[in-house]
Amino acid sequence: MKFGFAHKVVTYLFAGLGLVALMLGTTFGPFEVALVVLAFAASWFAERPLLDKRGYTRFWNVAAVAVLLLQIARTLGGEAVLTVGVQYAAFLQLSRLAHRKAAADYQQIAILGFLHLIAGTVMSAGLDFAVIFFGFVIVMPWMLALTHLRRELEVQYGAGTPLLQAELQSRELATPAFFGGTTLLAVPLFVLTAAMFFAFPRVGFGLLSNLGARVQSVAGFGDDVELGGFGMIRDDPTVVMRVKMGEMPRQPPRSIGLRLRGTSFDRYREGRWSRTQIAGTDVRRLQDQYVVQRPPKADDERYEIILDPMEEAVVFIPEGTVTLQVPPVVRAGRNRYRRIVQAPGLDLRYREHFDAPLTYQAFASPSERAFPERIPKKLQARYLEVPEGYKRISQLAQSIAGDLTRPIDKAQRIEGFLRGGGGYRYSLEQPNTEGKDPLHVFLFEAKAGHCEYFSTAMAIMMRALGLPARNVTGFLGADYNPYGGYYAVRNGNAHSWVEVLIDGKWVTFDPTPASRQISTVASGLAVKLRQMMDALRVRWAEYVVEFNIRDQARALRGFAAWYQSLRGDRRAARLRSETPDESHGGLHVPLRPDWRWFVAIMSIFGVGVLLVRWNRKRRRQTRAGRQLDPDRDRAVRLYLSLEDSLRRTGQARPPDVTPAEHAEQLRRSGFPAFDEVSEITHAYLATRFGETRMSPHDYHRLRHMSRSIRVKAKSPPIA
Amino acid sequence: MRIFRRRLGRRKFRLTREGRAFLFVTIGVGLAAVNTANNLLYLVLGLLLSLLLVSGVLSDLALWKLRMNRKLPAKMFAGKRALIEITARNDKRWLASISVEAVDQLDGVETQPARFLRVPPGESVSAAYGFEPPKRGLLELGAVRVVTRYPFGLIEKGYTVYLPDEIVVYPKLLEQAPAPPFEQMPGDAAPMHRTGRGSEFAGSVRYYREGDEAREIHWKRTATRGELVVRERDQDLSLFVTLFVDNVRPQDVENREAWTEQFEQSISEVATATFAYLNHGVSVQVRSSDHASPMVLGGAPPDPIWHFLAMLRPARAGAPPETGKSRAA
Repeated sequence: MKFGFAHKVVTYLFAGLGLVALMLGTTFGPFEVALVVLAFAASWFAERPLLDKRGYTRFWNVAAVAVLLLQIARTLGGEAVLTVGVQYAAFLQLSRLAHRKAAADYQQIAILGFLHLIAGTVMSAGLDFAVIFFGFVIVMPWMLALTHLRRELEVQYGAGTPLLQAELQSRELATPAFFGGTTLLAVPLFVLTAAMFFAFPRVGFGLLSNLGARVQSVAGFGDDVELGGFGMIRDDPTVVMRVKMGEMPRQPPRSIGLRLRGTSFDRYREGRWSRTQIAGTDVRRLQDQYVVQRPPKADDERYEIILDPMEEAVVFIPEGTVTLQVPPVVRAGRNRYRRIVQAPGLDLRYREHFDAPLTYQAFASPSERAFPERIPKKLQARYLEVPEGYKRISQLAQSIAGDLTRPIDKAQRIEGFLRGGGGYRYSLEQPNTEGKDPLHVFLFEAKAGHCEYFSTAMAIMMRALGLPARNVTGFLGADYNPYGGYYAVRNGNAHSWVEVLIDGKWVTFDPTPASRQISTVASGLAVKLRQMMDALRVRWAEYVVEFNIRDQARALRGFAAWYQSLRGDRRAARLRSETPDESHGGLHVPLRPDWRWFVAIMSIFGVGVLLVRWNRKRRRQTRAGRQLDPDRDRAVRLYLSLEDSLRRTGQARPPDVTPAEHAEQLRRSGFPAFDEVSEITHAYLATRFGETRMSPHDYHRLRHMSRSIRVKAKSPPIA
Repeated sequence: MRIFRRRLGRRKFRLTREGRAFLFVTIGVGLAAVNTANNLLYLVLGLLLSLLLVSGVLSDLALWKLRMNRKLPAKMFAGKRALIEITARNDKRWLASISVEAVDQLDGVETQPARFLRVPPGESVSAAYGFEPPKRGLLELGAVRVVTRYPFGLIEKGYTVYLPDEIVVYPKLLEQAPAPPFEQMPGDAAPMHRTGRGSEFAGSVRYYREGDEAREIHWKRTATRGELVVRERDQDLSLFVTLFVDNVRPQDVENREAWTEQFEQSISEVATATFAYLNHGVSVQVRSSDHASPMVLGGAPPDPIWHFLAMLRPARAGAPPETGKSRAA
């Protein structure tokens, strides 16, 4: 490839990666993105002689000032400084790309691209940044090396000279070997970067760490939710949560009906559920454990949950959760525990909203699915509130309940009625509710709807029967991800159900027809790829984004234990026992060395050494023109060793001089190690071309002598 | 690895301007990482430091097994630009040495670098740098500093190899020198006037000396002996001049610098005149107050006389100068 073209391609790759890093956040709208892409593509065609026109350069200089003034005006007008700054950074890069002439311009492009990468670290912590970063690891050596070479060329030939132009058109520098070599650089770069990343002590303060990062938006967990709005995300495959269970079966089922509770709503009016705003209280904390009902017991089920950042900082809990365990954030080397606030309606939310996933554990008791909750007085009436005009629904509820007296029986009958007995069916199609009450339409006309209609119907009917009830939103169902070893909860798993207060405890009822409660997962290559990507995303979050000083300490202990185990030291067992079992806390140990790895690496190394030796032998024999017997092969090896020694002492044998002549020349020139050279040469010639044999013993003796020549040749002659 | 260790001991490095900026950014990213506790910044910091580290290693590889040799020009004149050639030999088997510079030290002063953009593995590449010797005399060449900023231009790494050498810089030749008259030698010493470069002794040859013309090489004899020999000619003293350079500096000289300048000017004039005489077939010898140059036959290279003039130093007053046979310069 021509040098100039190769440099241009690499520059655009580098700048492109930087611009994409900038656009990871929320600061660029679709219009701005389109504008950047267009300008980026157009700048490719800006070449000489256009670049040399004075007016062209002046245009860009004036544009830079004008855009700067515009951005300042936008800032004064209330636009976010980050947005304005990031957009200006993108403009500067486009401006540079549009009039790149000399190595200095390419250097500036490299610097700007790199600053964009740094800016990207606060825009996104997701896998998209990981992809950009690895792109940088590969492209950066190309960019820096080519820019450096261009600068050297300019120094040597002068900028803009015909000689320089000729060099830029030359194919001698940007060869496949050059790109191959610099691409291979990515391997040590990556290894070193990873090593340094894990080695840097994490003593950060945590200021200004997330600006403009993207969060997931999932309806149904805010202050209110409109009937019909929640069920429409059924087909959204975006993963919002991953769940690992304490005891996973050997062959985990593909899908499970895991119910993760989010929040609840107490008031229903005009087709909309809302929650009464009451300030919550901090959940009682014992170290990193947050006691929701009671401290955990040994037989409690354990769920590890990785929750992607969402607009609503809801903590999702499995049924029967008694305690949460949320690891603290480490800032400046100190643990800073999170605040978790509980509001009436078992609405659990975490404070210090940030862009990284929230990883926590939930301890749940299978026998305590129903849970008690103290309800403020002003809320007690809310849970019994039936909107006006719902007489027909009340009558329906009465007719279904019949003469049943026990609240649990009433609830179960209504649940059964909605799930199948009443002829209702599950449908994602919205019934036409224009000008009518949606619940009436659902119950008496359409008789079809999604989970929200069913749960709302049951909650209202329970209230009509005088039983406190509330609508609950959360997720139901999860699909197993074999690549990550966890269950993935998708946006499409969002669900709505009912809690009824029976005998002082809130009992869960799900009136949605069972066959459609859990959305089925499609299979196929796309799904597998999606699962792989999600598993990667989780690994990235676990090992990179959330890596902290605790993980470092754990990894260090793990490494020490492994090292000791290699040495057969008994301390290893003790160290290992001191290392917290990963199954009981937080993240995995990032470094979990295994002696098998060591053996594997050494085996590969050994095979490599054997291959190199075999290759050398083959080349020797190729040079000799035929297969050599062992004696002659040793002789050739010996003489090659002698040549190597002579070359290192500056006495290399010229190609047109025979070994005997070279030895003679060295004698004449007074070479200090002449005797050794003469003996080895004689032995070589006698074995190689005569009938003399060279035993391994002789070979090793002479080989040692050959090496000693280097020392002798350097030592001063003794007078 | 032995070579590697040996070179490593002598290796020096410094950050380039870009390298300092890079380090500055690295420190900034490090501070930002500590401040924000953003792991992605730690990742970027790791990348930056890795780049520095890899850059250092690659610089070493570029210099590894790279040998330098210097080749001096046949003649150098004071005040005249000459090209000094440096040859880089890459003894590595696989890796090319890219972006290497060799900076020579002439009389302890560093010259313009000789640049090697790419030295392929197992090959030699030559590069030259221009040098204008400021004065005549012995020019001593010492160390050659071999440096590279490859691959990223962040670190300049180099080592010094000692390639001691010397060359005699001939006096500056003037554009126009006075063409002094010359006279034949009187009496028996005056040979018959003959043009050309003198007659050849039958079968007589001598070893080739620097400055001898290629056409004088006796190829048959050279082939027989295995060493360059040239035809030897008899003395051609048809025309002969002796030029005198007064190198005695009077003790009461008022302006020493002016005298030195005048002295150098006279040497240049004699050197230029020598060249002119020899070109005209006139044999020349130069004398100073205390020394005399070899006599050079007309038509022969003037190097022996230029060498004499290049090394001529002012003499102290008191030692009476020898009288010249022809004219004083």
